[in-house]
Amino acid sequence: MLNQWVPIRNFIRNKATIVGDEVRLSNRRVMKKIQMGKARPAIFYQFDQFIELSDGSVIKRKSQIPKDELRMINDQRNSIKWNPHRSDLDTSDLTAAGKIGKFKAKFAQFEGEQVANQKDSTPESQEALRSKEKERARQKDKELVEMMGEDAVEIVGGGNLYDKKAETKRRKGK
Amino acid sequence: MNKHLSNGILRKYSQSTTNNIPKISSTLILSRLPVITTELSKFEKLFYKYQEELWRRLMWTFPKWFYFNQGTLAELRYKQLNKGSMSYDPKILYPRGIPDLKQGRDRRFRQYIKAPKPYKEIDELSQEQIKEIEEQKLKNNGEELINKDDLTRKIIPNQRVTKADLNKDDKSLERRLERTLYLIIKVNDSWILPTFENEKNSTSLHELAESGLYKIGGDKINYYNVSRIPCHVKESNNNKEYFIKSHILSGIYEPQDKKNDYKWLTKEELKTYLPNFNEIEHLFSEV
Amino acid sequence: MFSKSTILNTNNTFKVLVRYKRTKGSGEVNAATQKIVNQLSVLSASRKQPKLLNLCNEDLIKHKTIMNAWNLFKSKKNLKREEQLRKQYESMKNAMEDLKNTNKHLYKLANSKPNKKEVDLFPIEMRIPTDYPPTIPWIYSYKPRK
Repeated sequence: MLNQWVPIRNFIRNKATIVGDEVRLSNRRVMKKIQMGKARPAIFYQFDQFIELSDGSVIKRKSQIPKDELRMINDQRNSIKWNPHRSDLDTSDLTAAGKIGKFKAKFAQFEGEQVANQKDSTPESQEALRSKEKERARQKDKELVEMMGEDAVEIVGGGNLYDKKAETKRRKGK
Repeated sequence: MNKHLSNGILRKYSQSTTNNIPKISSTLILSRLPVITTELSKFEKLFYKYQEELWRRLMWTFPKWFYFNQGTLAELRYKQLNKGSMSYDPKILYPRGIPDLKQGRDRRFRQYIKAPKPYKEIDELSQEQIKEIEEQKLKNNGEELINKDDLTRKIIPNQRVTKADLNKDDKSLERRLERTLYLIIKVNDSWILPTFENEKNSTSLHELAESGLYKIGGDKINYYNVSRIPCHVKESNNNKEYFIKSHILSGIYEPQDKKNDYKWLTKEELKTYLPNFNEIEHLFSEV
Repeated sequence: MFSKSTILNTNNTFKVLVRYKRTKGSGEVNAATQKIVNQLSVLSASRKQPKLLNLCNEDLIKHKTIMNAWNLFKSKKNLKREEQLRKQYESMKNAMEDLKNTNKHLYKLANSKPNKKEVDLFPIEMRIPTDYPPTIPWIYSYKPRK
């Protein structure tokens, strides 16, 4: 087949071909001719946006997303990884600020004990509550082990990882 | 530069002859970095406003179909907020020129889009709801009740001017959030940058500054030492003060000796407190 | 089946052309294509670009004045900053030269690099300034290193 330049007046820009379910765009990009000095930059529509970080600080920015406000729940400002020296961050439940924490707070009454009201809780009372929770979890584990019997050994799931050293030892032994 | 060099060489020789060892001490420049962005000058504000208006005038039409799928609730909400402009009618006379309507926008003018919000503004609320809010306000000592757990509540930014600013409390780390603050202490009725003497001339300058800071300010200070290299030297009758820069990141400066007064001040305020300010002015940040 | 018209052939003597409603139009494409077209159309300027800014002479002069003032403002600011940086560099160099001549040991310590174990590394707790402050502007609760 001859690959000739054929002058076409009504060309279709970036013509798409459909192969099965896939859509393929042609490689040939037919550009509209832009005169020298007539090029204009792409300026997309932008919204003024407020972003509230987890500690209450607000950043103002421009964004193409049609939203005026964004609120971060977990970010750099309250993550324990980013704040290794802060004592007031709760490390026991990393999802406390998230959906799971909300859910737990809402349905705590069905678990038997009511979660203390957040408004009138002091750091001491929170600490006591946390230690209580830990103690209860330990008790539960103990009960489980007792139920299974004294000789019960925890099954290690997930299979063994490939250990190069052990493998070579095994081979040498053979 | 050469002058200093030759001074140094001279001193080296004189040292060996007179055996006059200078007293070395490290001076700490402890700074609190700005928490919020700098205040813009009037000219900057006006210029940015001008540029923003130009930018808005040249913005392309908002591609509604890309962000809001047809027939969804989100699209409906968008449509309620943003009414399309009137279509062109050749029978009507347009004194401001014929509209250039494309994709529901008159391309001669700026476009303003209202983004759908998860909450309702005051002017969108019904009379009863407004009444309810005002009743709550009265109950809550005139302050509006804000549900902190509601993640879709309106964002109300905190004030850039803090309580410490209003109280003119220059011992607080919460004052002048837009500026860098520097720590000065009062020793023998004169204000100085904290200085620590190197007694054995064996501990490095930065370690001396760090241990000294803990000694005068307690160990509740989280600092970051910028460099081990001193940034300035001040010589006065056989005393040599080497300046070490450090940032306070969190924690608090608590004077261990209650008599020791201290202040957190900006560069401009330091001018009135430090006698040799002109000499070390370049070490302090403009913002 | 013909899309545009159907030829009725009766008795092989005459033809009648009947037009039906158009079923296969150029505007209708399948969903996958439509999606790509939608995405590309966001990036394309066609039908979205506003009219060119045609400033009158007076406005053009105003604009140029504003931009000149801005450039002047910026260059002044930069000069000031560069001057300060130069001074800082010189006083640092001066201090080190002085230290070299005063105490060799301290000079060596000042030039030493921190070990990996030491915590002289860049602090992870440093924060970029935001436009509005946090609810509690400063973090007081600091747990000293163990």
